[in-house]
Amino acid sequence: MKTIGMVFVLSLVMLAQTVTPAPPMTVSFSSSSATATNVSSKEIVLITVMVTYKEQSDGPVPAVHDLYFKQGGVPAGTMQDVVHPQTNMTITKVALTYVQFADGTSWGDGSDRFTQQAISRRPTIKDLLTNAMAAYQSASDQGLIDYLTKYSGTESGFAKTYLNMQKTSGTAAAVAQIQSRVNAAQGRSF
Amino acid sequence: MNVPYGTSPPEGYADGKQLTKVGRHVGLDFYDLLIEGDYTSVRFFFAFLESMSDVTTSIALWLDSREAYSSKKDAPYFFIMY
Repeated sequence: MKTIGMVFVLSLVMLAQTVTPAPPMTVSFSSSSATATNVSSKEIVLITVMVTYKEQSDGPVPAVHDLYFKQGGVPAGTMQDVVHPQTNMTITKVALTYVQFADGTSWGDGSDRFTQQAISRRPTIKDLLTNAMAAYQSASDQGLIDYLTKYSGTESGFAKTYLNMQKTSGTAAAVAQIQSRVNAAQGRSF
Repeated sequence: MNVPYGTSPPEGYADGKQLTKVGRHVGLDFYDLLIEGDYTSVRFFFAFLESMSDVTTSIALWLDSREAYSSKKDAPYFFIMY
């Protein structure tokens, strides 16, 4: 009977470990900023944390960091800023809620609308970037400018950014940045 | 001042990070970062950016549809795409 009990307890422990794997990131924070270190063996492409501020009475503030379009994402063993310093807010807690790996697997609960919205935007942004490169390849500088101008309304931060980049740093700089993100996205299997 | 992309940090930057007017580092990599958010609901978060006219031109604030968040306009959040 005693052996059966021990086996039962051991099974429960093993089950708990299976159901709740260790977090792939360790989070540390001060009153004004927070970082997360990738302690897994895999590249991470999305991080969601819930940040509690002393001055914020409406509950924790979600912060979603999407590195899907960044080549390399957050490599294993590296650190990522997950809460950027504010001038007048005091952090009291930072909780890691969801991580997506570069192989498409994940840790945690990513069902919140902020995480889902980030993930659902990727195809649109990928199309925008891919089409911007096509516009450049077919009509050179003016093709890129026309395309980015067309999509630089309030709906596309990307187009605004690259249009500004083209104006300030030149077409080559903008094209290099866009191509880098297209390459990153094309390298993802999901 | 326009912020160059893919180059060394311009004058006024320390370790690739911008110093705010109060002398604190803003942990944003302005060379490889896009910020999205409902500007109205997170305006207090972005207030520090408004005081930094020299860098805001390099940052895209994705103005989300007001309708999409009309049911919870006051809920702030960050969505940062790199």
